[in-house]
Amino acid sequence: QLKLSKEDNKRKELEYQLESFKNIVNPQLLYTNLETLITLIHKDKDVAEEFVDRLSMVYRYMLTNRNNELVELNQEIHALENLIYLLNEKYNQNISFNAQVDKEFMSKQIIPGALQHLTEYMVSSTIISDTQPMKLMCYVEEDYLVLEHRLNQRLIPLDKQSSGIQKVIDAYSFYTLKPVLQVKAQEENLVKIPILEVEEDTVLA
Amino acid sequence: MKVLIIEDEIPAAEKLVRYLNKYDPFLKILATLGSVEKSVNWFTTSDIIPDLIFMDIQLTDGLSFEIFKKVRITQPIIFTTAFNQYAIDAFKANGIDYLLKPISFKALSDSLKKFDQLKQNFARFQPDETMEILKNALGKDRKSYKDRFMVKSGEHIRSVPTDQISIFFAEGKNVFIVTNSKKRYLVDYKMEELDDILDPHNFYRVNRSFLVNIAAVEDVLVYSKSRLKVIPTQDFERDIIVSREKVAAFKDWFNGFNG
Repeated sequence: QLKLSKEDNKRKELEYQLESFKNIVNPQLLYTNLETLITLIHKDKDVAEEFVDRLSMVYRYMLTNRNNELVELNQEIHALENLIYLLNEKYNQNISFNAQVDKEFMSKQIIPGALQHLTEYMVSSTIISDTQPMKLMCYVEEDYLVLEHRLNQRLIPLDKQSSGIQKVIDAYSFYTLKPVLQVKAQEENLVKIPILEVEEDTVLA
Repeated sequence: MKVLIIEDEIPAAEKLVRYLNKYDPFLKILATLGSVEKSVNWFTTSDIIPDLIFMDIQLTDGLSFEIFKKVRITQPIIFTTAFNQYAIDAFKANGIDYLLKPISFKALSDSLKKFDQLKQNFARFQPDETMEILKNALGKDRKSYKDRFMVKSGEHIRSVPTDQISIFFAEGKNVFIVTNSKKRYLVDYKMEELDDILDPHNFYRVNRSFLVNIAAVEDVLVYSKSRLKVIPTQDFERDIIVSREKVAAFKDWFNGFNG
C-alpha cells in the first residue's frame, strides 16, 4: 500500500484551484486593448501597427506557455514589458517599469503569467494619470521577486472581476510552502512571489 | 536586392511589401505568388533569379513544401509562419530564418540584416535539406507534446520526463502521476488538459480518472459489462477499467492504430 507523503496529503486538502490564471485569456485585457487600438488607428497608423505587434506578442507568450508550468524569469519580465507598452498607450505613457534583477536570477523559474496578472491587478486598482504616474518596480529580495509601486489606490477598482492576487497565491501553493505576500505599507503596495528553482540533478523517476 | 514573395494572404503580402520598401527603397520585388501552382510556374518560366525568397508555409492550394517537390530552389528562403513551434525549432536548428506572423518591422529588419551578413553561408544552401525540414515540421505528429512535468518532491521542484510516467490518475480535483519507479507525485493539470498535451500514441484516457502509458500496460483482461481491465506493469491499488464506450478506441490504440 503506497502512502502519499505528508505534504501531498496536505496539498490534497487544500481543495486546490487548478484554474490557474495562465489558462485564461483575460477578456478584459483584450477588450481594453482593442479599444486602445481603435483610437490609435485613427491617430497614427505606425503606432497602431506597433501596438498590434506587441499585442500579438503578449498573446503569443500566453499561448506558448499554456502548458508550461514554469518559465525563466527573463522571459516573464520581457513579456511584462510588452504588456506595459500596451497599457501605456491607454495610460498616456504614465506607467514606468524598472526591473532590477541580477543576471543570476534571470534564469530562475516563475509561473508564466504571474507578473502580468499581478500588474493588471495593480494597474486596475491604482489611479494613474499625468499628475499621478505609476512607477512599477521589480527587484529581488532574499528569495522573493518583488513587484512594487507607490500606493495610490482607487476606491473602486477598474476590473471588478479581478481575483486580485488569490490566483497567484493558489498557483504558487503547488510549488512551495513559501507564501505569496502582499504588503500595503504606508506609501507602497507590493507583492512578493517566491523565486522557484528546478533542481538540476534530476530528471527524477 | 531582388526578392520573391510567396504568400497567399493579401494583407500579409501587402504588409511585407510595404515593410520591405521601408527597409530598402531600392529593393525590387519580383512577384507575389499565392499558390503552389503559380510558384512552380514562376520558377520554371522566369529568367530572373531572386536573391531572397519569403515563403509562407500554407498557400491556397497546398503547403509550400509541394513547391520543392516540383522545382529545385537554391536561393535562400525566409519562412513566415503564424504559429508552429516545432517548425520554428526545426528551422532554427538548420540556420534557416523564419518570421512569426504578424511580422513586425523590427523582426524583418533583423532578419534582413542577418541575411546581409551571412550571404556567403547562404550560398551553400541545401534545397534537399530544406524539404526534409519542412516535411518534418509539417508532419501531423509533429505537434510538440509535453515531454516533462514539474513536480514537487520534498522541498524541491523536479522534472519528470513524460516517458517515465506510467499512469496519470485523478482523485477528486487532484491529478497524480505514477512513475516507472513507483513514485507518485501531484501534478498541476486537470485530466482534460492532459488529453490535449500528451502524445496520443503513448497515452490513452481509459476512463474519467485514468490515463495510461502504453508502455505500462502489461495485460488487458475482459471485464464485466463489456469492459476491459488494464493490468499495469506495476501493481496499482485501484482497478483500471476501460469504460464501455472507450473499449473500441482503446483496442485501436493498443494495437497501434492511432489517429
